[in-house]
Amino acid sequence: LGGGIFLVPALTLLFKLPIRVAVGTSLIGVIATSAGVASVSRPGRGADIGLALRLELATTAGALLGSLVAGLLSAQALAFVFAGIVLATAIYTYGKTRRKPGPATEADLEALFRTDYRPTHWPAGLSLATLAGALSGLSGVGGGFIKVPVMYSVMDIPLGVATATSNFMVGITAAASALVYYSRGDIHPFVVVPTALGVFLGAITGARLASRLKVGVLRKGLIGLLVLVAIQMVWKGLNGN
Amino acid sequence: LKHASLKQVIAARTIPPIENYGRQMALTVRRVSRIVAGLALLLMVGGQLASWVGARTPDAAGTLMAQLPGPPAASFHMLFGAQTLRSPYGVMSLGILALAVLPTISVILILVDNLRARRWQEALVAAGVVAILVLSSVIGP
Repeated sequence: LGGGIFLVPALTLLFKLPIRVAVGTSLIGVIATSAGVASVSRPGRGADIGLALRLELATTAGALLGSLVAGLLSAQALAFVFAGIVLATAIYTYGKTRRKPGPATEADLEALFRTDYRPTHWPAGLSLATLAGALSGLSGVGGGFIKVPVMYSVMDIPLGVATATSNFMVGITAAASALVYYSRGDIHPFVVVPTALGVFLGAITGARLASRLKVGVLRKGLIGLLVLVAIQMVWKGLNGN
Repeated sequence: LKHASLKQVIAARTIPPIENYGRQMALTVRRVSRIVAGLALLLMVGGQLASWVGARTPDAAGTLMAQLPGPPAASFHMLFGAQTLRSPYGVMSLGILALAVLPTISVILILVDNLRARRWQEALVAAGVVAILVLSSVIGP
């Protein structure tokens, strides 16, 4: 996770900040997460960099478009868009919990990261990558919940490679939107700086702890939290505050 | 590894990466990420501390919290002025901008790597991504 799915609701619901400021802050948070992980582990590990950059042509263009549209939408509309994205993330995470437990044998691991694949269905892949970028620009999330299924199910990329490639792409997509939010005056240092520092330290700690955590338990807690956040954001959209 | 998730497997480094770009380039990207992120953090922390000291109130942090979100970050035009480093607010804005351009720097490094290796098509794709990122910094209102 890039962290945006938690940051935007935390900043809007707990700190009562305008949603556009929260989204701008979240985008810098996503970049901080990406930078934090890149500084402790080898950047792009397991990722297909060529595929990532080809998809980024579409994703960054979508992010640019999404962040420009975000400047035109009302706060209520943005709250509804965000609630929809949170629900989609909850459904995606639920789908993950229902899959069989992770790879057990070396052969399974090799299948996840096999190198003999050839990406297919480029037009559909690029179109959906543009959508992922647009949603990232609108809501401040990384968009991995769209990119991974698109690469895996539509473009026939092995799941391991798709996940690593999506992780590599998150910071680049967020950068395209963040610069638009910066130019528009939606980045506020007194909000962004403490958030980015916390996120950066959290990302480094998380990257070091990743191999020791019980992901199944975390995912179940996450689903509950996401559903609560979605309800809160719909409520916020309906009440307009 | 029996019950490990995909991300845990990646984190545990049990899988060799696809070598799309050389090991040296991966290490260079990591080194540059550390330097730029370190610089950004230094500027942001320094600016934040200076703004608290500058507030000269017993409860500067609380005062700032009450004023959130505060003023927006300095515009690109102001950032490149001579006064930027004299103001905590300018220093913080500079730190945020350094963090925001970090992914662009990574893509530029990959672009350079592709140019050096004469992988023209890959270089063109990376150049396209850099162009969109640069466009995003000038297209905003």
